[in-house]
Amino acid sequence: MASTTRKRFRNLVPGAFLVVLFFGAAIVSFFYTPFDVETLNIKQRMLTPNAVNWLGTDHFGRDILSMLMVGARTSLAVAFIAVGIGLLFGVPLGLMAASYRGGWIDEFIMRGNDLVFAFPALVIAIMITAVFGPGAVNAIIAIGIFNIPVFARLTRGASLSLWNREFIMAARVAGKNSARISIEHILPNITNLLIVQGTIQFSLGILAEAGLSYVGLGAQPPTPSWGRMLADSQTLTTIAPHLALFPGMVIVLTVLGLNLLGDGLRDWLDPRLRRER
Amino acid sequence: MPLLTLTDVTVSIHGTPILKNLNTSLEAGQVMGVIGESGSGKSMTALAIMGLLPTGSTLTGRIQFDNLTLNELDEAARCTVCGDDIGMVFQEPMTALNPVHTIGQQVIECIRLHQSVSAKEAKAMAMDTLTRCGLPPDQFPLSRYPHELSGGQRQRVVIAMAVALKPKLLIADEPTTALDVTTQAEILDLLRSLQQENHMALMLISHDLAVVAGMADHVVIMKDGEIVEQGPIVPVFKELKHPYTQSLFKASDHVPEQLSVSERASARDRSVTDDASALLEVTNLVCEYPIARRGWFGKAGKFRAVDDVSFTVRAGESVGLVGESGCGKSTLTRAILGLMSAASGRIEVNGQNINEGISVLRHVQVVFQDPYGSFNPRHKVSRLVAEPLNVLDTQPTREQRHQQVTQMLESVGLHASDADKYIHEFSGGQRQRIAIARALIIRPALIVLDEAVSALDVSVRATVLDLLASLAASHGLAYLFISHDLSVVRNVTDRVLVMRAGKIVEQGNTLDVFNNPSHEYTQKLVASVPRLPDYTHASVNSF
Amino acid sequence: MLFYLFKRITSLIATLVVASLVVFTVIEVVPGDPASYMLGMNASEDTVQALKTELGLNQGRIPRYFGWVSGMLRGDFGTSYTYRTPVADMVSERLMVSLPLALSALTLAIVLAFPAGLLAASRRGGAVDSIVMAITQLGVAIPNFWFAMWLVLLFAIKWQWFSAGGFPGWDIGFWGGMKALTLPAIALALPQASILARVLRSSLLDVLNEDYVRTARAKGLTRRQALWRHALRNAMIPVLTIIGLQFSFLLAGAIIIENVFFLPGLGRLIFQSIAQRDLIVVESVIMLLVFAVVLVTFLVDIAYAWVDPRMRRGH
Repeated sequence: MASTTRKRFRNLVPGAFLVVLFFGAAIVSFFYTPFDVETLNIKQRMLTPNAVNWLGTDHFGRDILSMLMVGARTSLAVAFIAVGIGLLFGVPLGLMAASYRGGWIDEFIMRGNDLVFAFPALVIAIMITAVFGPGAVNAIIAIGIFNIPVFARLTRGASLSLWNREFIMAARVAGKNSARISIEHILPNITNLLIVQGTIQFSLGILAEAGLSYVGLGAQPPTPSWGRMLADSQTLTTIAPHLALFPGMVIVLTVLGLNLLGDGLRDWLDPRLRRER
Repeated sequence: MPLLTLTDVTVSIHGTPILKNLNTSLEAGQVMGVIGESGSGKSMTALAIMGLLPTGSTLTGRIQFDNLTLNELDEAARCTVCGDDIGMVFQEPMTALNPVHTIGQQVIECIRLHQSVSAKEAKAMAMDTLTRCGLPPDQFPLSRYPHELSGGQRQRVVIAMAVALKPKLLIADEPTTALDVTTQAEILDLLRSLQQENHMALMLISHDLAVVAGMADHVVIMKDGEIVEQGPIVPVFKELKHPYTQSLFKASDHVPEQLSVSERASARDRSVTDDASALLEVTNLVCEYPIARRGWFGKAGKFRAVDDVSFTVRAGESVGLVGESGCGKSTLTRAILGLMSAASGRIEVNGQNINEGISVLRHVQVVFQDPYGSFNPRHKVSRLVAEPLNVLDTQPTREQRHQQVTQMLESVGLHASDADKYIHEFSGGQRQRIAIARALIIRPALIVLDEAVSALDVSVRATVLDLLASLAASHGLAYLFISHDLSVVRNVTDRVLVMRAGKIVEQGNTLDVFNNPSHEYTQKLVASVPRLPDYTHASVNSF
Repeated sequence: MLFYLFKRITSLIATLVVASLVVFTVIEVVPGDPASYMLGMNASEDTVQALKTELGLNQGRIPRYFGWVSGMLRGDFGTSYTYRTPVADMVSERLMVSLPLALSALTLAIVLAFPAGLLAASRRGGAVDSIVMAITQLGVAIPNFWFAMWLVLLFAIKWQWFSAGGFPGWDIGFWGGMKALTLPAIALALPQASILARVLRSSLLDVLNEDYVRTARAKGLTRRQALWRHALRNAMIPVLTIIGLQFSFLLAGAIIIENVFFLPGLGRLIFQSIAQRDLIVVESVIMLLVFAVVLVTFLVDIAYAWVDPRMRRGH
């Protein structure tokens, strides 16, 4: 039994650890960072990791660890709110489509979904940020829009199979209407799926935010961001590879953590898998 | 020497014992019936013989087939035996065939895997086998895909694959359970004739005593992974030495303590309706489904699932509705529950149209087939049982709600403390009791039982039928008992409706209809039901 | 089958029409007038008006929309505001970079993913499976532009096997051009290969639990034979979906990688055009990309029908 329990938590524990670690760093950064990230210190630039600056300093002499901590705020906030937008709009749309399955409302919502999917996401994101100005808020909107059809489609698909289940028919025979059934019966039964997909979209959001700020369309200076730290380091990789190493690793570990957490939650929440083990 | 011998076969999966010390044997050309309820290990026995146990299983003991010890063969050696000398037929024909290969490809694959014949010869053999199995190539070309065939036809393809190479042993695991009763009779005939033609040993696994009784020379009765009794069929079925065999026999033809219609009607609260003649009245009902347009100029057609159906259910009466899959009984059920609207015709409950708002649902509730799918797994039993209270105009207080739930649970034989549990903590039979409690809580006059006991094992089914009978007496309930299982309908209903292709072809008093069916279809249906022979007078040495 | 095709083509055209309306409307509301943008802050009102007339910006919206759409149907995508050259020429020049890049990245991803996915699924729970799962888990998490930076550092700067960026053009020969695209293609392919391998593995594992795989094994097929003959084709539906999505992504989404390697691809064209308010280029390129996505979806639909006979019935 011990080995099966360990197997169950194989992904969950390291995933949760990484996610908590980076969220923690972001929160701590509001109260404390080893150095101030807005103070430039040219004399101390491009130091390799040492006892004072644990992860070294960048080309302006700013402490990399401090910048990564503050940068975590932007990355996590942008991706988190973008997932929120996807859930907020996508889930009700998906529930509605499923409750009017086969009708014109369903058709309309699903065609709208296909339409959004037909647009190249990154290009639209770049257009939005370029047109309305670069910045964290526009990055959120740009990433969030493409989360909506993802959640709408997932919700509809999962709900459709539930609508054929006998407990839904029993609720209808108890006189409950579609909206009430969607909230009381459908939603609680797809929450697991939404949580798992949420962590996946979260990790994709982190990658997208990093990409946008890498090309200069994310959060603007002086706010540090992981993507722009990478962009700044690009021309310096030969002389100071650690400038590119640490921000990249932080992105990888955050995304990895979220993916592990997602897999772990799926295994943990799925009663079918639980019974198997 | 027997063809197949099991010696001390024990199987466990991840340490949990599934089969315990099985010892049995089967002679060449003989038919062995394996009987057991769900969880008895009968399917696992078949998989153990085939070497297809799930990963994580360990097997000890010996499975001897001819001169081979099957459980000691490696994968390559197993593959030369399976499909050639041993064939297998599974329960679920709808999923047993690969959807992306034609039926021809699938039968030919089986032949070419074990015999080095040319593609042409293999094709000829496949056509020959399919013809023997009732699918002549002029009507069912080899290029057909599984989804173009019905369940019974698919099962014939599965059988063709299993018998293509004339195996010495055919294992059939619940081969007809998923099929309609008339199809079941045809498939059993096919199996019997193939077995006799090829002098093949057959291991027929079934939960249905009557199916086995009609086929087997020898029976094995299993319970909880053990063989409780075995031997030639007549002595075993006649003497009923083992108490478990006895209880199976009793339960499989269970007749609940019947009350006459008038007794039940008098028990009923007369204030609900004075006119006992029409509790549910269905008049010229037509239900249609749109069907997808086919081809360039195809019209968006309609499929008429229920075609001009009229009948009544009187207060306190128990009415059966029987028919095979696709006859329209599910659609009719949905219409009666107000879950789909009719194209024309009327459904009235207590004189009120079913689609006239939710108040009419106070008089009709339902119990569904699937004990696992009928409940929201995330709600507690108290909330599940109380759900129909929603149709009342004034919602009861929390206190009243609690009291009613407790009362209902107790009236179906459960405990008040069960209200705080989740549904996964209950067995299939207990779940059906909870479903009955849910249906009963608003004191309806009619409960629609939609295949309500079909998924239950015979012994559990008997207790649920008893419960239904006693509730009918105490609450004066009327039942609309929808089922494909004719023997159950025969035992528990007063009147019966026979449905086919959307129409009611015959209706009348249950015993009259079953004993003297007038419609040709009813006659066929009744004749197809496998029946347990009367063993009381059989001679033990009859074969 | 014909009817199935017909239905798919109808929905393809409908999507394109709606998409063109959306693109046109969005570009209309974008703040920033191209004419004043091109002429700079100090231009007089008259010059701006003159340029507007020349560019056709003074026409009503409806004629402009139809002019744009009918132009595209004839292969005329208009003239760039900034460079005064036909958009079609600019786009085709960029496509000569983006298309080979996307195709080679996708090919690479498929070539890497299939053996990995098949191996992992056929040896579920074994060492190979664990290694494949660990590598792909990492591959999914690595941002491709970061990976690209290390590729440049290692292969271009340290070992000098490839150039660090830029594109010499196809004039120097096919292999010369491909060489310049090798590092970007690898950078793009790694995460895609990881995703594809994981999807293939999980889809195969699902299918291996199906009843018909058990039937196949009862016929006397070995585990591996059942995987190849019965599971693989059935497992292809989600895999095809992902391949389709990936091709669309690679065509347009290489923007960031193009930045890392200074490649003159479609992505950079859009990027520059947006910055310069060269909206006619933006409009046309986006429409072209939408067309590509819809076309790929259509091809994937046809592939579904080829894989699974149940889909041929026009639903």
